[in-house]
Amino acid sequence: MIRDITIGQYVCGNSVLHRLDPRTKILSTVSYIFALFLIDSLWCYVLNFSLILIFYLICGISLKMVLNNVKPILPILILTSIINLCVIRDGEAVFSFWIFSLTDRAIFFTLTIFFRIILLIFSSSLLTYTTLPVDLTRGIEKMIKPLAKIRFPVEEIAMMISIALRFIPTLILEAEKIICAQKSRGFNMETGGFIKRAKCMVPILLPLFVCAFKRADELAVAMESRCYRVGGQRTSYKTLSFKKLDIFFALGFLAVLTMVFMINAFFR
Amino acid sequence: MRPLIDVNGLHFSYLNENFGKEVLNDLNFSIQQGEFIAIVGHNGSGKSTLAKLFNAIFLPTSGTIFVDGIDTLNKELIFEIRKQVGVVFQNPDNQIVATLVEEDVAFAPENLCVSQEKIGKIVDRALEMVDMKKFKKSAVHTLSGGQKQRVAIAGILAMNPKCIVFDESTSMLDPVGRKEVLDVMKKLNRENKTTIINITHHMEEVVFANRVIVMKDGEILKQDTPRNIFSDEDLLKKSGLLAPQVTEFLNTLCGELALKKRTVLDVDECVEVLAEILEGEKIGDS
Repeated sequence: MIRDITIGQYVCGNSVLHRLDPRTKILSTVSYIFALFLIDSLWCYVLNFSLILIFYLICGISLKMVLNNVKPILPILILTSIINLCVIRDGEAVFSFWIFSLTDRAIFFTLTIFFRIILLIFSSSLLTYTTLPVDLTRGIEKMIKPLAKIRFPVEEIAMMISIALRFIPTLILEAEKIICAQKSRGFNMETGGFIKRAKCMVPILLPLFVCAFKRADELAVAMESRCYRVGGQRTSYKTLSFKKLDIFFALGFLAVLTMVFMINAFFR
Repeated sequence: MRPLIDVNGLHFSYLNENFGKEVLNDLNFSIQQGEFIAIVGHNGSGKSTLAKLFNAIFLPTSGTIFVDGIDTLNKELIFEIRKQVGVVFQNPDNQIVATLVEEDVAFAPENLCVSQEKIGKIVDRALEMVDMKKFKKSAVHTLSGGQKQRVAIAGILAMNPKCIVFDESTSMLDPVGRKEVLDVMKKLNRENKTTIINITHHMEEVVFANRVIVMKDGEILKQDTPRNIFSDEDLLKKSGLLAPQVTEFLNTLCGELALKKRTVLDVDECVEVLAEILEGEKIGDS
């Protein structure tokens, strides 16, 4: 069901990760993802994986949720893995059959790619699970604030992101209703090949888009009624502040990442 | 006394579609501070357009609307007008901007550049008035329709308006939600002396108003008290409206029994009249 996909959703809680400043979390996630793409030792991936598992444990979010997010891209992941295994030829052959041969480098490379993508989803999901959309946008707004000097529309972009996040649950519900409505008219979307299924998306996406535009229109009128003006001065209901916890977390996280890099450099 | 809203010779037509066709045709009326008004009429009678003219979302094609003495054509004071006249729209989902209840209520004060400490107080007070304080930290999409609509009202109350227009705000709600929203309307009118303009299809809601404005094809057919409106059968026929069920019931009953016509507005009144009729029967029997 579409409802199971939880990208961009917040899970209520009061763990250490929930209480951190969004900017700390955004920067940590970004540096974690950078690290993922820079390291190339299998042990480091294991280390990174256990690190993220510990985080999930701390904030008490079940892994089932994030696995639901992995599910939709699993076919692509498996396909690329198979292609990688077959195409990469350098390194020593471990196993060979007819014209195919499996080399140790191919296995290694496939595993790293696989881990990278899975961990990418795990870490970015963790960010949205533990951070309220409003805080997330506020964090982003604060971080790109310097760009306002070169006339970059910082506040408008932050408003757009927060409205987009606000409407995810509404649009998911609407998509479900549309699917039910189409099904009740004898519309079949569960069988058929890949192309047929892709075509099935049209009668769902089209009404969804039309509805989204209508909603946008009404929302714009409602926002104007409440004195919103593009480019106008605004104050903020809540402001962000770094606390001691943020400093401890940032230092600790930095130490762990440095350690990972050291292991990556010395133990291959 | 200066009326809160003063409409003079108002004409309005849309520029893009049906060019030249008048949506509103020569309206003249005024609304006093503290009144409870109901505007009724069929689809296409121009009542929702009127709502958007009250707070300068649309501007008159000709004629004027004064809100608390300010012409809505005055672009510089547009926020002053929108602060005085808040509009609660039909679909609660399409007027809530933020994910969290408190954040959404804070939206208007943020736009008006109210300082941070003050916004906190405003949000608490607004949520208190609509009895939604315990949902302050909840996500909007987890609430029921009636609760969402009350959050939307709180969002308007945060501007401390003198008048709130409800543009078919109860039409997407279930009976429970509709009652919740109606109770808030009545409470605001009674306790804060807020002017309420309720644009509606439900005749049961019209009963609470001091004055009813009946519209058809962009014109005002009649404005009067609910009792006078519902006893005017010609008007009801002409505008295609149906009186509330109790009113209809008693009208039919009196017609059947060839009794004097009486217009009742709610169940209590109906019971009273019925008791009177039965009493009369008894006396007649003995």
